[in-house]
Amino acid sequence: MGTRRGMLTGMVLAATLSLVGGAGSAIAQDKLDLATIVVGFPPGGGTDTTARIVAEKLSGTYADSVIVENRPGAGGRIAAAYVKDCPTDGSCMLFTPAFPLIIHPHLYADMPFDTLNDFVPVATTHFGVLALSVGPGAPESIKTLEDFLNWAKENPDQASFGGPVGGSQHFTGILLSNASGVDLELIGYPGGAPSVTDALGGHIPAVITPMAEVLPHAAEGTLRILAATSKERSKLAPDIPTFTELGYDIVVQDWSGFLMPAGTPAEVVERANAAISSVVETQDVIDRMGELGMEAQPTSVADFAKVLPESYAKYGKIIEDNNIEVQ
Amino acid sequence: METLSNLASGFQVALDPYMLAICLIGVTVGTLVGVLPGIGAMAAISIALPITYHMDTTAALIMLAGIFYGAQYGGSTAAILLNLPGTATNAVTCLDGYPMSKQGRAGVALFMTTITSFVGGCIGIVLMIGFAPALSRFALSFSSAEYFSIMLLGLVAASTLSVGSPLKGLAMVVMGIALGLVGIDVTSGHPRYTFGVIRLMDGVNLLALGMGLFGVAEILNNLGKPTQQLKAGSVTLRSLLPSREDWKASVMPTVRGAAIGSGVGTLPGTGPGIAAFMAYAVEKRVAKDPSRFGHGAIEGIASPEAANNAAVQAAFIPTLSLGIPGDAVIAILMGAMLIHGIVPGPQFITSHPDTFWGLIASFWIGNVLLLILNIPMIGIWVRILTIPYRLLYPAMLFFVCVGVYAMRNNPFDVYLTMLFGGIGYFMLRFQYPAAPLLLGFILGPLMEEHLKRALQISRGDFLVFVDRPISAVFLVATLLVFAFTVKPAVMRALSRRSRAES
Repeated sequence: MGTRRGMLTGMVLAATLSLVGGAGSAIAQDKLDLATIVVGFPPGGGTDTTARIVAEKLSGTYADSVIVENRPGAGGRIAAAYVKDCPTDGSCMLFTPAFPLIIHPHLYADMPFDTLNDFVPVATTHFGVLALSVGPGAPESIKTLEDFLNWAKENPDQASFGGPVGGSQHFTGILLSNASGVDLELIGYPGGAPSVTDALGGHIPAVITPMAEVLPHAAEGTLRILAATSKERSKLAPDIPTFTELGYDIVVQDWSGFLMPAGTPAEVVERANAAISSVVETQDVIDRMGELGMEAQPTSVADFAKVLPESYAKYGKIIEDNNIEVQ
Repeated sequence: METLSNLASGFQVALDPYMLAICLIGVTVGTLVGVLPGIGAMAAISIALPITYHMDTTAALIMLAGIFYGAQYGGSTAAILLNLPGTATNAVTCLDGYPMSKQGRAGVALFMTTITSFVGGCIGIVLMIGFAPALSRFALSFSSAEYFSIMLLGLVAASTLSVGSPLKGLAMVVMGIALGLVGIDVTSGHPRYTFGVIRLMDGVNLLALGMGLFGVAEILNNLGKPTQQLKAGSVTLRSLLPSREDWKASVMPTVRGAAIGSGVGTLPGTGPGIAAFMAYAVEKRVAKDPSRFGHGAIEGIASPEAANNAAVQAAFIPTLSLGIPGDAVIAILMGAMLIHGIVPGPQFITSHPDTFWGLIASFWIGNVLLLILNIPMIGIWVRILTIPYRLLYPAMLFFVCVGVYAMRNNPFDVYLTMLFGGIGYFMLRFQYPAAPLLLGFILGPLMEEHLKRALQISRGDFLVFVDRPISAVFLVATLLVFAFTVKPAVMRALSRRSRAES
């Protein structure tokens, strides 16, 4: 069963490839023996799982075998620094969420790479959505974002939210503070899960996390999601309004994607994009990513090449405007 | 009633042939590393960890936990036969186990330690079924203030109740906390003590520290020593059977040991080692004739072995329901859970009931398997002790390096392991205990995080720690433990002064 599906995907892929890359014979020459996807996070997490779903489907089409190599450390920066010095024949690529490349350079002095000059963007898998939710730590009367901001204004000594320091959650909170004029203090957590636990226990009134982490609690009624950071309503939660709809110009939707070391030829990048994008478009992958709370969203090389510097500049501006300093 | 049906579904998970095989592998590996001196559950779990990456989460946990409690069973074998503790927790078993074996009662000692291990383990599991779900329901109301106070109690208890000089214990806790400071501060995002080394951004690797201090240091320490090898075939099945007096003398110590082990194990920060020492001390105090201890008293092996096995099971209570690791080995087990996408804490039992109850059921099954592995098959384990160290130690070093490297594909961690191995060797030589250091390293950063967060939420008001009743209770208990340990020293100083004055 698995092999037949693999073959089918392979056929679809080959067809797609021949459309994009030109003659069929050229593809046969291009197919690599071995390609490595480097992941900056330990096995088992969301990033690793996504990389493995894609790697499994790329095996036999993009390269004879595609393996995932975990090089965790320093919030994904060690893996990025490793890929920077990789061969440029398409056999080595980085799969990463955006923050080590677009947020960390503005926060840390010693960066082992230069995001805009050391990498070429290849393809994206999805764009993450964050959500602001309140729990038992906030009055029950709070049903909307407006209610929450009014309450926060009247109770400045309680107006806080949980999230990781220096993460996009943190910056979403800052953007909301700036846009509404209501001070919101960040309570720092090492990750999403402990902040959700404290919100459920009523120790903090609100929490900003990836939407997927609060959806089950919203379904149970223990947390109330007030707003999402996507441009349009998420397909995973069509009832939740976006910040933009509610009158706050806040769109935080960071990409996760594949990058190759700078100097990789454009045709290699195009071929990889075509292979990855067609994998991300298969129903099986859409379903499996959906289970992880991710909405599959491939992009072209040209679009990703536009998004990367834009997102980099966006965080640079937020961090500079708000005088956030880490090192 | 609900508990019973939960447990039944847990057995359904754990009795699946695949899970059963996984559990058997876990406890067998555990017994093996327990039997071999120098290599403990920590090394075995970290070597096995990469193998479990692509296993089902429940299976991975069943196997790793099996190694952990299996090692407690095996550890007594070398202690009794060679006077070498197989794992640090079995050190106390040497005291009376080795004299028993010199008196020709090695078989009885091996049999008794297995039985009391089983009883201790079972009592620990019952406690876990009773307490863990209740505690986790309760735990949602624990805020950072409570977490801080609990961990303070655990840390103070662990450093003052440890074996040997309390001052050295305390010094090692502080050193552990200092090492734990390295890396990025969670509440501010600042890197601390990284000296610009990007590899240190995530802090010192727990595995490198633990394997260096326990595994490598132990090997280095044994290099200069005359080899103490066992001649094969010294234990027969018939010699295993204890007499009626042995049975009678062991019943109460076993019960007391299990009770102490359960209590100590539940407290975060105090692991099976401390439980075993406390159980031994209590037995010596309640015995009619304390002078028999150290000369082959059966109570002296029954109680600590029951205690360390009960403690191992009970240590899962704070880990699974609060997310606070009880000791270093369980901290690595917790790391394994995180790798598999499970966050131990108040939500674990409700969000992963299959994993939790399957794990509990596997504990029962694993303990029964261990009974079978350790009584009829004891001869095999005894024979393993005849492997020459010149083959064993290089192999162990190899596995330690592979295990540390495989964790993050990172040679830096291997260098760190060797560095800590060297430091650990000198600590062993000068009798500085490694366990409190590791505990400070694990609990220190967690305590700091909760301290800062409690203050952030209270907007800087320190009274939050005494305003909240549960937190206040833990702080008072901390004071009591502290006063209790300082008391003898103060009394001694006072009496010395009064003598000097008179």
